[in-house]
Amino acid sequence: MKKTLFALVVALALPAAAQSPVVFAKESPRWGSFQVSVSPFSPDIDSGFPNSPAPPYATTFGTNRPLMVQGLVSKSVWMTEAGTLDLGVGVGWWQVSGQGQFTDSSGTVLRGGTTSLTIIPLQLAATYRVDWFYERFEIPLAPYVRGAILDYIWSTSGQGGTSTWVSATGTSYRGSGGTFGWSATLGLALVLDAFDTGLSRQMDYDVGINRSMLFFDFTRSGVNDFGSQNSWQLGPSYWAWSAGLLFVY
Amino acid sequence: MLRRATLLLCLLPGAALAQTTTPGATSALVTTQGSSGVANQAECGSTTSLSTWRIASSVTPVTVNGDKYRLGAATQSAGCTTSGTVPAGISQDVTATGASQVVTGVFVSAMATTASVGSCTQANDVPIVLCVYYLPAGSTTNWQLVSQGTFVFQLAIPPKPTISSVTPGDSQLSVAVAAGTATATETATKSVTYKVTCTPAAGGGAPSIGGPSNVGSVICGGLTNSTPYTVTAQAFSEANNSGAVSDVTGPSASTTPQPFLDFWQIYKGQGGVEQGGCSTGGAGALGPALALLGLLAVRRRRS
Repeated sequence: MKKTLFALVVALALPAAAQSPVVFAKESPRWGSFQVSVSPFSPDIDSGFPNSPAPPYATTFGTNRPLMVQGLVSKSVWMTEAGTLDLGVGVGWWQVSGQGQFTDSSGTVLRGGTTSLTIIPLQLAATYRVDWFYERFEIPLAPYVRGAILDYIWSTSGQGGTSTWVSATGTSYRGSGGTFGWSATLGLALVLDAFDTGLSRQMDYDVGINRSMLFFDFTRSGVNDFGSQNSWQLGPSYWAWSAGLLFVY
Repeated sequence: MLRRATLLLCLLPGAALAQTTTPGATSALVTTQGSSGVANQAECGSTTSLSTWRIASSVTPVTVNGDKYRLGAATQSAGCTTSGTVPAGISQDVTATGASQVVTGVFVSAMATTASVGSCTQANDVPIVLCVYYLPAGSTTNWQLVSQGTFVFQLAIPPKPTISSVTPGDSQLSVAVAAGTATATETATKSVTYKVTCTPAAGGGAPSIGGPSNVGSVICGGLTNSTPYTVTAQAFSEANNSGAVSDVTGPSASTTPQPFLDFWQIYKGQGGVEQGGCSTGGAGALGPALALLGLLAVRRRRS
């Protein structure tokens, strides 16, 4: 009777094991992380016009905050039970469109034409993520801090392509360039693996993803060539929130 | 403009095709070439619009015998005649010269008349049947139908469009056109394109025509800044039948192109300090410094 029962258990268990071989697999070694995020963004260009009744950015593009999409690839350079230090590079995309202006002879401001500002944000980032809560106590939260050096590649365009402006002295200024800056981030990640450990192990076995996290953070930044007198401010005037997904692999 | 409608008729021996003619006749495949094979309102009503029939036949006509082809047309419901008296041709019978030949100069209006299309300004498309009869030795008693196909008179017109908005630009107007609602007499709604016409409101000067374009924004370019314009839009069916002209928009500020300044020009015009280009000073050195650090890191890893 016992032999029959044992054979039945083995027969039932074998197919299940074949379907989920990772149940018994060891976690793969970690190498780094990859994340994608979205963030409502609006540069503080108008901070250079504190006394203007019609500052250029707001009057052209309004007060909306289009989404900035960013990706960040990092390599883990220091891993302990307490946390992980990642060094990474990131790139993103942001664009805002609006209408141009024309002031007629009576002083009336008319709107028309199309104009846009495009930013490709680049960053070198160092992130320290506290894994201790999840690794030690299985609390699915991972706070993190991040500091980054930014380089915003930007371009403005009008009806005829990239903008140019010619000063009264005849000097031509092309509306494109790059502006450096910094950012500091405080965030909290929700470790999704805690909600389905089987799926988590399956992902690790199939594609090498050790952890999946949903994160939310706040970033303060300054993008004005570190205070240069000849630069505008492309960083926002506020703590900008962002949300996204982080994969540790 | 005279537009030639072209019809391709290929007579293929023994081909397993859908359109089979009278017993003893070859199976026939009738196709159209390019956008031809259809005729629009203008071509239907024109007394000069011509079609070209391309015939590739499996029969081996003998010129010296006087073998001929007779071209005919019929309503789709009646179809081509297969017995009895051979129908009258829509053009002169043509001498059958060989396996492949082209017949030109067939009046489209004759096709419409013979096939009882009726009014060329009716609201609906009218498909007809084209017929090719083989007259051996020119005989009108010993004849046979050797091919048939379809030809469509695309007569439907699109509904009158509406102009949603007009946005002025530098020497141009961007006109947002919305499709009209189909009516009993305006039934063409597929593949409709739009043209806009911008005319100086004060008269003088040639109007500018934008498009054709699908529904959305159509640009009227080459305009004179500070000149008010009136704007109209017109829809065209796939067969290029024109619908009613929209209501007139303008003249107004929104239909007056101006040399609008873009964001960068507004920014610099207000005294903005940004110079454009790469960063200067300490920040400008950051890029090369980071590149140097990266290079050192790579060299260290290799060593």
